[in-house]
Amino acid sequence: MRNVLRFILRYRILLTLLLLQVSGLYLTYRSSPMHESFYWSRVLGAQAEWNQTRDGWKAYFLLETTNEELQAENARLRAQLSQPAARPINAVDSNQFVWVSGQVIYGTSHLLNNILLLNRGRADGVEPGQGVLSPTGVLGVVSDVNEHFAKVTSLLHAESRISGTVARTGFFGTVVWSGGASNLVDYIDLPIEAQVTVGDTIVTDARSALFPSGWPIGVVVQVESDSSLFTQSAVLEVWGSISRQQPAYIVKNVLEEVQNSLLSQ
Amino acid sequence: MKRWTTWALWSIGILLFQSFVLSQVQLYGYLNPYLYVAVILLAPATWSRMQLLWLGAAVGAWMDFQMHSGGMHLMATSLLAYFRPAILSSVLPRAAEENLGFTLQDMGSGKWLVYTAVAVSAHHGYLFAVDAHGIYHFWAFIWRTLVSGAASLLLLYLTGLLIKPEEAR
Repeated sequence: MRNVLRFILRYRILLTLLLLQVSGLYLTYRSSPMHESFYWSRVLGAQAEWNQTRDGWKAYFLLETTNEELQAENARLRAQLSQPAARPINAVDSNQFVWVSGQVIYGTSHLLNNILLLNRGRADGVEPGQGVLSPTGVLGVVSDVNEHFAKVTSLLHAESRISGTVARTGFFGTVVWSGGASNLVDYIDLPIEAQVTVGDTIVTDARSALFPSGWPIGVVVQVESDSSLFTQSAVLEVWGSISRQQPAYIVKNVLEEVQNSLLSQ
Repeated sequence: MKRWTTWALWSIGILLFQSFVLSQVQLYGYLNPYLYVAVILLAPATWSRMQLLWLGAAVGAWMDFQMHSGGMHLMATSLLAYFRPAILSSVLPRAAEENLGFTLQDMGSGKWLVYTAVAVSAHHGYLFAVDAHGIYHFWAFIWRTLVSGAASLLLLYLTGLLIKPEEAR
């Protein structure tokens, strides 16, 4: 017993370092945030409030860009409204989604696993697993919520997988991110016959239950073909910036349970 | 620094600057300067390893809290704090015994650069390795460490120019 105590006293500094490292690892790799308790939801709330206070001043400098983007979106929507004959082909699935508008209040883009924070939470009907869009593209998927804030797994996260389709030809692929520049994402798993070319627009597809189809993701800036695997991959440039303060739409698929119940019968 | 009061004032200033300005800088997806390591690098030479370790843990935990990064910064800062006495004494062998000052003016550019560059590359390298779950993308990892490290080093140098050497007590 005395020897154990002596050992602890002798190596107390190294042991403290190891303890700190292990707790850091635990905090970094702790399991799915969806199973996290009340405690982490409280921490998220405190973090979000601090971010909001700290980053508030930045929003003023971005107001002009934000306004222009919203005006452009309004113009697009008005144009659609004024042409009742030309109903969008995805009219069914646009009724299938409930939209909650909010604001990105914090975001990182320099890490390999980036996150965003939104100022909408459970009180506004936001739940983990819902998709998040910006006026100009896709932001990510909600991973954690508390009463008033939501944490989003950004499109710029190594584990993010979002399906997208080539607007011109309709082939399916997957949008992933593997680090590097924060305006470039990879588009993989394309069949070789997809014949993607530089300048093609990639949009969300109906295959994913997360997003309404036809929402823009990015534009192809580089294509690579692998003839041995019969696949193509491409690099997409996203519009706007993902990790800045901007308006965000959280979309909820109201027919998700109906779809699932049909599948399970 | 020799006096902990001067150090504490500088630390508060540096941490506020890091939170409100530097953490907002994210150029090209790589560049994110971490000036806050200065808080650990400048802590008085007489402080024990244990004191430094808890200081590092507190600074790291604060960074993690505001950057939502789990415990990454906590791991990197505590590692840096653990090795600081060793790095410092390899550059200034009698710093702890004689409570030598080690601001930029005290040490001179050469020694200061060795001390700071070793500390910054250890801290940034470890931080980015934990973030990327290892160093699988080896060159991307080296590049991130170099670019961010150079940016931090430049900022540390500019901060160093502002800090006046203290007179003996």
